[in-house]
Amino acid sequence: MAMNSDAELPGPGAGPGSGGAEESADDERLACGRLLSEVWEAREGGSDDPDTDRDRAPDRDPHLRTCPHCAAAVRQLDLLGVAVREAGGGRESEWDAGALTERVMDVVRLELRPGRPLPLGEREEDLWVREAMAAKALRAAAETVPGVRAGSCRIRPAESGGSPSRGPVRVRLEVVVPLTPRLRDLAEEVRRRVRGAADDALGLPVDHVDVHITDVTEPAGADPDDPAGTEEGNQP
Amino acid sequence: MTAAATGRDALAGTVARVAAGVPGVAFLRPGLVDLFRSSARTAPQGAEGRTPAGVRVSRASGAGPWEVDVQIVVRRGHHALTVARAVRDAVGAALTESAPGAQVTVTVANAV
Repeated sequence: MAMNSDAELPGPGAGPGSGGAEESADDERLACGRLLSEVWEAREGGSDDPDTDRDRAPDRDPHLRTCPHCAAAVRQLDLLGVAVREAGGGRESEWDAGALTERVMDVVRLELRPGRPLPLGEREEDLWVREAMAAKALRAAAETVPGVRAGSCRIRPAESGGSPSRGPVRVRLEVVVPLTPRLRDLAEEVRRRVRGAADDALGLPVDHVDVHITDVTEPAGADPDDPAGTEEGNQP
Repeated sequence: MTAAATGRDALAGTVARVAAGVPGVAFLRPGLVDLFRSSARTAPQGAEGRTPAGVRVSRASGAGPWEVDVQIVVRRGHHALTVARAVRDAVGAALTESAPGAQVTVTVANAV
């Protein structure tokens, strides 16, 4: 269990530590120099400006009307937006453009930086899951423990061998946890939920889960009895 | 070559249709990456009429078995392995006549 006090936590949308976080800006920049996210937001009609409706935004920026790269990007993103909305299966009855955009961009990000393929199921099967998606699921599982925030999550074959290896994987997850006298129990609970998600959500055979506590936060000041970690072991 | 390419495209089309219809599959991996890659930069309008980005079909030789690679995005809350197996089985079943013995690889690329 490693501890240090100045850990940097990536935001929830940031990469799972699969390596190319720094290239992201370039990856999402179109040939014309625009960022994909800017183009998409303009298409959405400038959600920070309530006076702007969808159709007016491109008028203020002639480039968006004439640039073939932006036009292609908008067309693709529209298609993807429709697909993502349909995938919601009516769970989001309210059209929430912000949430939809975030989910579309999440798909875009994972497509740009999918990470390595990891084996799903049995050794002799030819089924895979991308590391970025698996890491997203495991980080989310860790964060179901109250107060825990997941940072970098790296997933590697536990055994070296052919590439890509079909064996079970080793997970290395960094977390920031609330201050509790039972850090070991808390880490164990994180490990248990990560293993659970690997099994129940993915079907990813896991050999080992390393939980690294990179920082400890004070429980919320307003509520000194904050039940973070009460689940097991709040006793001194 | 065109005949071979047509056969391959037809196969890819079948795979895409069957895979997308499997419960738990939200859609095939979208082709947005092409927007950023050099080939797409010279022809950004070429998005229509291509093989779906999430399907790759190839064969080592003219007589060898087809190798089918499917990349899917699953619906949130679905078990990735279960969906991947269902896609493999559905695609394999759909190809028993047109591409017997096809080797099907399924990769779950994301969940939405």
